[in-house]
Amino acid sequence: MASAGSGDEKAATVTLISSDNEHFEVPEAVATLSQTIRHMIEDGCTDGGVPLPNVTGRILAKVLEYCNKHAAASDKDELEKFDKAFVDIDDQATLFDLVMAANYLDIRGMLDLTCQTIADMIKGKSVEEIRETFNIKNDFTPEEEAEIRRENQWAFDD
Amino acid sequence: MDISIDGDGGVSVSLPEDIIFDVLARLPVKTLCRLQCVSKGWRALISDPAFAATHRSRAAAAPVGGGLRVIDTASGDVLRVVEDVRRPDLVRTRLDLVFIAQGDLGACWVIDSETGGVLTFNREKRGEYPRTNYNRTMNTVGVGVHNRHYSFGRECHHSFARATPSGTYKVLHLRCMRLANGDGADICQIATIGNGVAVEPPTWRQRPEPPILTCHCYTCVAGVDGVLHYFMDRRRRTPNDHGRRCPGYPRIASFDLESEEWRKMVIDAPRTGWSDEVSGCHMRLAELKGTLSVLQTILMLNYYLTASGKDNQDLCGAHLQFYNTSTGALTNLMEMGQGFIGSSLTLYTRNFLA
Repeated sequence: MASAGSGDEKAATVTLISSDNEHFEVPEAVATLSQTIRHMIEDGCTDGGVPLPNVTGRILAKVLEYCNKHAAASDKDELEKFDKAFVDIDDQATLFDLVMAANYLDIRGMLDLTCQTIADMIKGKSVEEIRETFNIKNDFTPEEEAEIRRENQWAFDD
Repeated sequence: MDISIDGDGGVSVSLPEDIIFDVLARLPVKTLCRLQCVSKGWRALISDPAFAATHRSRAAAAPVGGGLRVIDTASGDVLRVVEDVRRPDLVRTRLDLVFIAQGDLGACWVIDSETGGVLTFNREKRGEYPRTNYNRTMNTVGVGVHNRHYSFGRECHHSFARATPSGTYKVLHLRCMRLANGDGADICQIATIGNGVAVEPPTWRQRPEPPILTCHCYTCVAGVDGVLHYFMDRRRRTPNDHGRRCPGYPRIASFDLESEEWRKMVIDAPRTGWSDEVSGCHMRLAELKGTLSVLQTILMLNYYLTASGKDNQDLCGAHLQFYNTSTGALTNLMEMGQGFIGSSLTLYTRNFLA
């Protein structure tokens, strides 16, 4: 597929290729919300498209939804409303995929948004629920865990 | 980045450490303390000084200038600066909320150290007194003619505590209104501090007056389990001479923050374990391990006759006593030398500063 067109009337575009081989042609102004892609464009290695082996087509589509909105809109309230709806996801796995995509693609705004959402999610959960959510093995002995709880008793008071 | 399918067919995703770092850095300290239990890896991350530094840098930047500084004793960072606080009388802290009551002017600040939000209320300028109309059963008090001298200092008091079981933070405001004929009456108001310390001033709700005239200084109030307890004011007329003598049995009135009512039962604390030799005692109310306790120093006297035949007294020592209001046990803790007479009592428990 054609890469960034020089001498065209149209704005320059770049092609992003997901891990499952979906192709997305995206204006550079939108794609460069990702610092990773921006560096690649600056380094001139985007001929033939940019492969993103860590991001599936489904997630990349969502990421581009974010980038399109944020590259275009300037109204703060409108963006806030969009962001709120963007992370209102029932499926936790998708949220985690998005945070990892934001991290890999280095999109600051989206990373902030998704990390904050996860932090808010944590606030309401018990320790055991958090282990389940994040797939973490409890490597404390029961005595060790009891000791930590005791030390921080005030934090468990609610 | 790992994506693994677990036995149930669900997808569980393990987030890389730098993302977990970012997420945890956004959480309040209280939540982080709980999260230390999750795993050794999380505990190591949370207790790492580099993490603490990142966490602090996300907090509101503190302006430079005068005023009160809320300082994190672990890292030395200034969490919040509140202007205008001259002489804070009372500070109670939990790591997320700081409450400062300045007795003299009756002003209070509640600071949310996580968001940096400050709620100020009851800031009375010197000489001014908020207008209130207070109806007691028979007497109506008009505020117009009011002696300003009694409008601040020990006459005005705020207590900040959590109601049980709802966990709502409330502020109780007690104020003594002095009538023209010298009688005193108490005004009792309560307000709820909402989540996240909003900027609007709290709305005060009138509550019934306490069953006994309560003392308003900070050694005479203690909060236990959602109930605030106040000592009876034994000397309304001369607020400076507080606690030297306590005629009769000291009584304690209790206010339940959840129901916002005074309890009918007034607790009686015993005056002393000794009888004749005692002249007076200095008392302090405190909460110890979930129980209301009274600490008192008993002053021992020697009576003797002077040459002219008059009674005279000589203070010869003091004893420290501890009364547990639930069990009714009165314990003598220790004998204190003469130098302790007139000093004030403080109770320190291990996790006093939460």
